[in-house]
Amino acid sequence: MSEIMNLPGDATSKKGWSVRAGALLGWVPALLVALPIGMVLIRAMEPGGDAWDHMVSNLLWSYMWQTGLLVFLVLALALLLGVPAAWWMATCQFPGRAVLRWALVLPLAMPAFVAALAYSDVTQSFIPAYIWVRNTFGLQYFLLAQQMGKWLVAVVVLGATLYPYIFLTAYASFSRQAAAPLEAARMLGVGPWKIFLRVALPMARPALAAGASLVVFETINDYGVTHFFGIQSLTVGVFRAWLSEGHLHVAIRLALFLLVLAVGGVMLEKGQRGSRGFESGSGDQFLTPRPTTGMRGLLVLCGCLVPLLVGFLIPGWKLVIWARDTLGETFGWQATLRAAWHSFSLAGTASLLIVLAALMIVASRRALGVKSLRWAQQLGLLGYAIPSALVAVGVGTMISQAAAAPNFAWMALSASVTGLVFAYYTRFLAVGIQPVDAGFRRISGSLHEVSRTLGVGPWQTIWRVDLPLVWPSLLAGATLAFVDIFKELTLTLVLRPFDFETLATHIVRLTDESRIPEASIPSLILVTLSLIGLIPLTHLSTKSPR
Amino acid sequence: MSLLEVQHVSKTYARGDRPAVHDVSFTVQPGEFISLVGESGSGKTTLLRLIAGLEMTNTGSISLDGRQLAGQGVHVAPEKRGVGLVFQHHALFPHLTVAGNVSFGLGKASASARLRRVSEMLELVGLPEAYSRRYPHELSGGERQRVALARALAINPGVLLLDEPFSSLDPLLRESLRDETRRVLKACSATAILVTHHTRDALAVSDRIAVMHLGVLEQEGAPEDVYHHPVNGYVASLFGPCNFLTLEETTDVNHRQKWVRPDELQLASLDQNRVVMSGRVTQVTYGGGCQDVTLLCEHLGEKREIKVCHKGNWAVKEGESWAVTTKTDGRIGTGREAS
Repeated sequence: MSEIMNLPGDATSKKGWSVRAGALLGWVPALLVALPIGMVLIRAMEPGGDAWDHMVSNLLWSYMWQTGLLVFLVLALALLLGVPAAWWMATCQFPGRAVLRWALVLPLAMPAFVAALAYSDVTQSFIPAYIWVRNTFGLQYFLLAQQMGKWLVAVVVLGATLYPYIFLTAYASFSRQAAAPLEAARMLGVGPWKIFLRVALPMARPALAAGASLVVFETINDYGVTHFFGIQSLTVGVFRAWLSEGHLHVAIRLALFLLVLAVGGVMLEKGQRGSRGFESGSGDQFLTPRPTTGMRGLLVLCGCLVPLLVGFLIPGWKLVIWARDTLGETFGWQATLRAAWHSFSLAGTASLLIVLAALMIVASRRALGVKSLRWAQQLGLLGYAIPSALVAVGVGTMISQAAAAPNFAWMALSASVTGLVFAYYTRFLAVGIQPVDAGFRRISGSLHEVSRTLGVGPWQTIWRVDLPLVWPSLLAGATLAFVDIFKELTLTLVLRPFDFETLATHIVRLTDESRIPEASIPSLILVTLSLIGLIPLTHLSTKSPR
Repeated sequence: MSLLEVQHVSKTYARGDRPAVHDVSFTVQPGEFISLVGESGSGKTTLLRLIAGLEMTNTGSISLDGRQLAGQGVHVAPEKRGVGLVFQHHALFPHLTVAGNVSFGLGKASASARLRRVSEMLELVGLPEAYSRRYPHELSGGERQRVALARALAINPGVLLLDEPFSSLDPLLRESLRDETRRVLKACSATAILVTHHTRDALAVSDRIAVMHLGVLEQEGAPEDVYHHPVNGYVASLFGPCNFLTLEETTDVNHRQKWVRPDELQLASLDQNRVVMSGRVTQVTYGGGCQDVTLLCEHLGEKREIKVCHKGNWAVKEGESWAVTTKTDGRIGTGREAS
């Protein structure tokens, strides 16, 4: 072979050295994601011992059904809040619709554990009901009622903060993908209910599955809300086994159960994506909303306001009131600011690494056209489906094993922050890859090809043509990763060094110490920064001509 | 000596069930404008991409000006081939001005040399110099196409490849830009290969036409040859309606089979004393310059639809019976003896 061959689709047959080096550039950052999983899988082979036997006979079933029930209830509520709102927003023109189109996404900026603390006193309002149950039905039912009260609030908090995943995908499907058949059904004189049930819902199934899978991931990953309301989920079980009881191998095995659940979520999404025959293919056609005024318009407005109120406005208002009261007293600004700086520096470092890695993976695939790099990209995307508890256990195991090696004792002291950044990288690389990949996809392949025929090499083409066009996507990827990491709780709580707080862990600590009103100010900082991260998302969701 | 030599080139895609290009050979002379014509999936774009180096050949070789670009163990990267390419949708870099686009491939040339080259190219394609500061989104479709042409020509390519460059333009603009492109290419003596499925474009601008079908080169020749003497039914029908007839020469009794275009036939009144092909008119449509008449005739013992482009002073109506003759001296064989 006389000269370099690096062509889309064809370089696999005979590779030049530069192609191999470039492929390595794409594979290395993706393979890093597989390390913690590999570590967990290897350690899971070790004998379980008495602790595991005890877990299986006494606790595992409880963890499993509680996790299953939580996922089911949260998903049901998220669908109930998200789907009707998306349908009304897509098909009805009512007063306030323009504001609601971006406002309905706001609960994504409200971390569930922050909303949980805002709703913490709701359970207290149930006390008269509990007393009535005890007096009427006895102690057993009193305890059950207490449990149900906590479950109710936990499900409402999770459902109301996670419904935007459903809303976004359903709205996109109703307003765009299904526009032509919906209009055809309308022209055939079919009523709105029938259109919704017989045309819109079946067509939106793949989109709903995509949103639902995200709700499932977030629910099984949750630690803040479940811990706060005393729900014995698998994630809580992993950390209890590892941190409270010191049984790492039990935690590893439990984490694998979480992985099975997450894989189930992925399969659900993939399965539905396979049935794309339901989509109409009228990709760029937007539905014209029907004017909805009077009492009907008011009802639709109220229906759309409920999720926003429960998921954002009520907890947000509560936080603002508490913050106002707390500011008058002696508030620990120093600790809050230190925690904010830790959050900022950690999220900044990790998001920078993530966007660089995403760029390396996607750009090398683009420049070299090596087919195997598609798998590297898939591997990078895997992280988002891996439960946080599993990543935490995997990274924790890696750190402890590295620190145990001769001459590496220093790692025990300093590796926690590095390990934390690595854990963020593993978990959130997908958040960076998706917008970067979307950005590259938007650039026509012929731009790359024409640059090559003008005498410019593949890497120089990436630098001179692709990068100037893709930078908004890089910025979007970095922002989304930054915000996700900034409010991340589960990994941080487990892997952070001793006496090292981020805003998220600071809030949890204050909550654990029953200083809930004091937690309002760091919570508001967290919510405000998360709102910035929503800008690219709301831009995408409102990209419609009407 | 030929400038571009394509020898026995074949290409099969990994997921393809048949070769996209199969054993294609042709040459292009310096300064020649050749068109590759065919339907979608005929392999013409693949052949263009093989020449550009954007795809790798499975077998065969490609040489440009005596230098082997592709062949056994050789594949020169696209950026090292010295081949220009103009895409259907222009592929202008949206973040660069017209000047930035045109000078993109000029490498390490000095700023003044780049400016000079941009001016030359804009003048060549008929764009005012003030356009050099505009961005692609500020240009019309035709202006973008001119910039794409200027950008490809700026690097002095050994051969310029044009991939359906006029397809995205409306018909009026397409015709004027097509003629303008030919003028520009001839003005700078550029060698060019145009890929198109618009046969009128190919007939209008090409020195030579190569017809591709299912990856195979069916016919190659001057536009008149390909139009009037197609080698088979596919080539004949690609350039418009055609009748496959057996003609009787008046000079001798030899019969010869030939593809005859409707505009080479004419209608005549039925003459009982002469042996002519006749038939009933089944369809008449107005085709602009003539009436497109379809007759059901008996030809060599079988019923056949014959299409005639009728330019006579009288209007033909469906249901009438007419004789069909050629405008030249050839008569259409009937299989009957003259009475």
